[in-house]
Amino acid sequence: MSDKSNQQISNLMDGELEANASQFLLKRMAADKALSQTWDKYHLIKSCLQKEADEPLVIDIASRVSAELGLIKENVVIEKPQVNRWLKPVMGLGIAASVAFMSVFMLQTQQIEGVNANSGVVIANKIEIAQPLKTNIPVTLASSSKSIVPLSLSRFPSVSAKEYETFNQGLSQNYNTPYLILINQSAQNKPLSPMKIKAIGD
Amino acid sequence: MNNKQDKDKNMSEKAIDLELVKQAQKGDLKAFELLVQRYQQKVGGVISKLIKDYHEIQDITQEVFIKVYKALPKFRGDSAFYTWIYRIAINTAKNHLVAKGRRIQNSDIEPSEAESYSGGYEQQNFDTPDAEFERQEIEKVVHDSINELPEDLKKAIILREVEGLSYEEIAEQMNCPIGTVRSRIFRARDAVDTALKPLLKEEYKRTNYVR
Repeated sequence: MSDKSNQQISNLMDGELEANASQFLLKRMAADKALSQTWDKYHLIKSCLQKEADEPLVIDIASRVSAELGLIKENVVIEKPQVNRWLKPVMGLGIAASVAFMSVFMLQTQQIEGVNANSGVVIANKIEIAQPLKTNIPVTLASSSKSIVPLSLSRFPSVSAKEYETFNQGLSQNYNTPYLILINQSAQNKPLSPMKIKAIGD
Repeated sequence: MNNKQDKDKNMSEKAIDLELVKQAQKGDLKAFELLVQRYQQKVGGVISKLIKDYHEIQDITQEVFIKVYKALPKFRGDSAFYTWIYRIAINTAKNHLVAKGRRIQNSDIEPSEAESYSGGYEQQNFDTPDAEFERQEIEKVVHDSINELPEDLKKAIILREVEGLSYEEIAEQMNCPIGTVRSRIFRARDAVDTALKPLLKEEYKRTNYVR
C-alpha cells in the first residue's frame, strides 16, 4: 500500500479527489483490505476529533455487519431450492401430461392401423405427419385401395360416413400433391374435392 | 486550472455515498462495508444519546446497518444517505427501548436535534473499566499525536476536522496552494494513523466497542 493510495483516500473522504480517480479508488478499496482499513482509521480519527466527550467509539462494526449479511446471503442461497421445490411437481405434471397425450395419440394410431389390417383392405405401413411423399401414388394402387375406418377412431370425427366414403373414393385418383386436406363442402352442395392426400405407404 | 474548476471535477462526499450505495444495491457487500466504516461512529454517537450501555450501542449500531442494507433497494437518493440512516438509527434505538420496556424521555428527537441531544433515557453505565481505558487510550493517542504534529500540519487538520472548512477555505486561511493543503492534511492523518496502529491492531482483533 503506497503513500499515494493513502493520500488519495485522504482526499476522497473529504470530496477532494477527481471523479474518475474516486470511482477507481472506491473499487480498489472494496477489493483491498489494507486500503479499506486505512479508510476506516481515517474516519475514526475524524470522529475522535469531532465527537462529543460522552459519545462512544464503535470499533470494527463493519466486519460484524458483513459477517451477518454474509450469513443472510447464504441463507438466501439455501432458500432458492425451496422455490424450485414448488416448480418440480408442476414440471412433473407437465411431463406426465405430455407422455399421456403422446400415449393416447399413438394408441389411437395403432388402433387405426389394426382395424385396417383386420379388414385386410388397406395397410398403412407408416404414418408420417407433415412428411412430404417422395413418390406419387400410382393410380392402380390407389384405385385398388379402400380404407375402412370406424368413425369412432377417425381422425375426422365430424365427417359423416358418406363423406368419408366419398373421400376414400377420391384416393382412387392420381394426385401429384402428397397430402389430402378434407374440406367439408357438402353444405354448399359442391362435390368434395380432395386436394391433398395423406401419406400412405407403399 | 483554478480551484473552482478543480472542485467541479471532484467527486463530492454525497456523490461518494451515492456511488457506494449504487454498488451495494447491486449486492456488493464490500462497498457497503465502506459505507459502514464511514458512518459507524456517527450512528454509534446518535444511538448513545438514547442508550448508554456500550454493548447495547454496539449491537444496535450493527442492527441499524443490517436494516439499512435490507432497505437499500428503497433508497433513491432523494435525501442525503446519512439523513436516511440517521432516521433508521433513531427508530431502531427507540424500538429497542420500547421492547425492553424502558421509558423514552424525549420521543420526538429530530435528526437536526439528535446530535446535540444528551438528555435521553437515563441508564446505568455498564462500561467495564477495560473498555473505558481502551476508549480513553485511543482518544489520548489521537489528541497527543495531533499535538505533536508540526504547526502547519496541525493547523490544517484542525481546520478541516474540527472547524469543518473546505480545502479551498483552508488554502485561503493558510495562504498556500490547495495542493499543499491536501498534502498537509494527509500527512497529519498518516502520522496519527501510525501512532494508532499498535492500539488498533488489538482492537480489530477483539472487534470491541471501546468506551
